[in-house]
Amino acid sequence: MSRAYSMADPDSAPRIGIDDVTLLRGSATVFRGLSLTLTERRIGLIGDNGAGKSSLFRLICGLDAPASGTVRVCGCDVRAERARLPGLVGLMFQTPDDQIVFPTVVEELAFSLSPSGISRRQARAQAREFLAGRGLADWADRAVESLSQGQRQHVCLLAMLIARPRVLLLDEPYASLDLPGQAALAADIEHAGQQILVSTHVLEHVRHFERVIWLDRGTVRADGEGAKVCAAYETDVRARAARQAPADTPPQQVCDAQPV
Amino acid sequence: MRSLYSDRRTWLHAVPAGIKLLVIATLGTAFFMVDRPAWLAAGAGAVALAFATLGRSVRPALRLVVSITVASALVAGFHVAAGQPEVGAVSVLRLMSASLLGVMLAVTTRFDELLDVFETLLRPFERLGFSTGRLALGLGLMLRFTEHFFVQWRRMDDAHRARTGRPGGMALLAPLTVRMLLTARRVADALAARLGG
Repeated sequence: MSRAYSMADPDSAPRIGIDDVTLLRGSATVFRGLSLTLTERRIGLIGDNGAGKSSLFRLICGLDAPASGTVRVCGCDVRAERARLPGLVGLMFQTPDDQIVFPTVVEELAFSLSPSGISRRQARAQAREFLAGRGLADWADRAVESLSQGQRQHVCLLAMLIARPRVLLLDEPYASLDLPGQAALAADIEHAGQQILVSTHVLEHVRHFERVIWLDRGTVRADGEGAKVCAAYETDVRARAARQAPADTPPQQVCDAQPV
Repeated sequence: MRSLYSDRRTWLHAVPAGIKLLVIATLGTAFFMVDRPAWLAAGAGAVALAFATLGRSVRPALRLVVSITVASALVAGFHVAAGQPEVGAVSVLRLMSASLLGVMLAVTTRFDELLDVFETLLRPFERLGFSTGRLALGLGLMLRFTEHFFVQWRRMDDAHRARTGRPGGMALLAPLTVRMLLTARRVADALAARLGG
């Protein structure tokens, strides 16, 4: 069902509108005529590697240009109005090392405030306040190099949150986290006020979402309540695995049996 | 991006970035204008002493210093074999001194301090309509990528040792170049997403 929205009033608009988008990468077609309206607070993106999850995020934050169609975030055309995007949408990349530019935590967070035009000194002061407000004041002057992978991921999330975008895109945020790290990130996502889209292979973290989209080779294979879509994807994966498993392979012996 | 910066504070962390850059520029020029080995040795000794005062803070950069030392030894060996030991000594002293100064800057200087300096120096260009903030960021990133290159090389060398039991050497050059180009593209994407450029 399509939902009409007015560009003139961003607050009443659906947060993300993808309209008849075709995306080409080299000679390959990533999406053909993809249309989605994303208004729910929490949306999961699932699917095999190469299904188009990261490409969809890159479209939404204006990094990739569609061959045809439009992408709007809060009524803003992501290609035509790129300067407005940092205040609207934040993208957390799969690898923290690709995202973190500055060697200390406070600088990294302060950098997110630079599009707002405040001075670097003011930005650093705000970043310190922001960290202190989360009980992380002692992180401010720490070298990013001295942080664990989970802590770096946390810095990436904080660097997005401090810019207060209305939409957060998290690209496989659980991929390199240990279980406590995953739990901490899930709690952060739970408490964040923004609309959040999470692409992940760890279905437990999106199963309770009000909406999950299963992408399959650039098309929407299923779209709906998290529990149902995750279950459908798991069933499909099990069926494919069963088809691929060699039928006549005997179970491997764990150890050689010793004659008594 | 990976970094050599150390959060273990030293006396050099408190020195303003502008002064550090000025000292590096002055000493670097002096090292290349002087060609008497005795003077260069005295200068290199002073730099090494300053480096040593940073203590454990330089630990992230020690492997880099070892690599520079090995490269210096090769340069020296080449000149000795060519019958020019004095030229070799001059080259090695210049190389070691300039490298140690660069490492000291990387270990003790925050990136935004460098950006402040670049923006101040570039301010006159603002009147000509240049976006000096972006230009300063570009210059700063050039330095950051130099650091990232060495840290990345160290990680790839570790991976090579783990798999083959020996250092990677020149065999790492091609994969390292590819990795650096990929990193450059991803960092550009991250900057575009964060700055709306």
